[in-house]
Amino acid sequence: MTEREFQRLMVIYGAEIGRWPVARQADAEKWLAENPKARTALGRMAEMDRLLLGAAPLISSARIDGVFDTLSRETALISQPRSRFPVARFVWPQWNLALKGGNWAPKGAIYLGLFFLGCAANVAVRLMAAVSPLDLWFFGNLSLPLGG
Amino acid sequence: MSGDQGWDGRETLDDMLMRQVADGDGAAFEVLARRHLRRALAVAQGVVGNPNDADEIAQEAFMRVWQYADRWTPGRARFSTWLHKIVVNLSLDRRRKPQWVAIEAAGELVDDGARPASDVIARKEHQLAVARALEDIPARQRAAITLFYFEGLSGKDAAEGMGISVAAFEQLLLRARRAVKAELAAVGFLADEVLS
Repeated sequence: MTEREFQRLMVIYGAEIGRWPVARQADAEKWLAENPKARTALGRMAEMDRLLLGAAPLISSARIDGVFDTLSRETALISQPRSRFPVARFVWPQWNLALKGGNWAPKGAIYLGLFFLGCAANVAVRLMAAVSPLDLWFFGNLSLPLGG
Repeated sequence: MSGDQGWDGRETLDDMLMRQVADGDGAAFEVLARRHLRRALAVAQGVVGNPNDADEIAQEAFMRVWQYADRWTPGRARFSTWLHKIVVNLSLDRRRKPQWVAIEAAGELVDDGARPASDVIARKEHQLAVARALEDIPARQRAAITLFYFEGLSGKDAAEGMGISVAAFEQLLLRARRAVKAELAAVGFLADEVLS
């Protein structure tokens, strides 16, 4: 770590090295150990951090209670818009997680489900389109479930 | 709080509550609101400055949580990050000139314990300078200060809460702190060499 980078991080994130980006903390601590004069600058920065924290808004419990009461009244009056496809609320999160590679079981189940759904749809269409028993025999023996 | 680490145990409960809220469970919504309302209020007020506006923003944010809970996807983002985004966006959308109250509040924040009177006066001046600087900087810079310093989020989480990259977030923080430093330097706070 260079002095310039140390100062840049100090100016941005403040005096507490534990709050700097994790990937840079060890280097920063090492640099600080090798450059003890930088502690003076950190000390001044800590004072500025304290002044900044002093400007944080104070939220009283009474105020939270007031907003909460208003919120409770309003939500009681407003119903949630319901999804037209409630199943999607269950399927989409599973699918999303599976896409991230973190959970393979739902992903496999979804692929398998889609496969069988496709097969079923194909067979249903063929049955509806069949005009004679010979057609049924022909479709059943010569064509694949997913093929034409 | 440390660095840019992420998930913690509270998120599991938030995930569970959000699933129940998506199913229209009012009791789960109340628990969720109780858990996060203080932070929503603090973030909104940190950005807009005015407590009345902050109350309205926090209410509006939770109304959106209630109405659009089924759009939230567990595993994609933490609930708190999602809520921060809503609150910050609503706060930034308020185009009215903020009626910042930190200057008035600063007078009550002086720690006058065992310090000499001159120190107390100097500290009060410094606090007023910080309040003035926060009043003058753009709302996005105030949002960065609010999320990182006031709420103690990591840089990464705060950037996510604002919907921007970490690099862009760092720039906002840098400009905000330089503005604070300029005000402090004007009242004799010796920070020039570490902030230049």
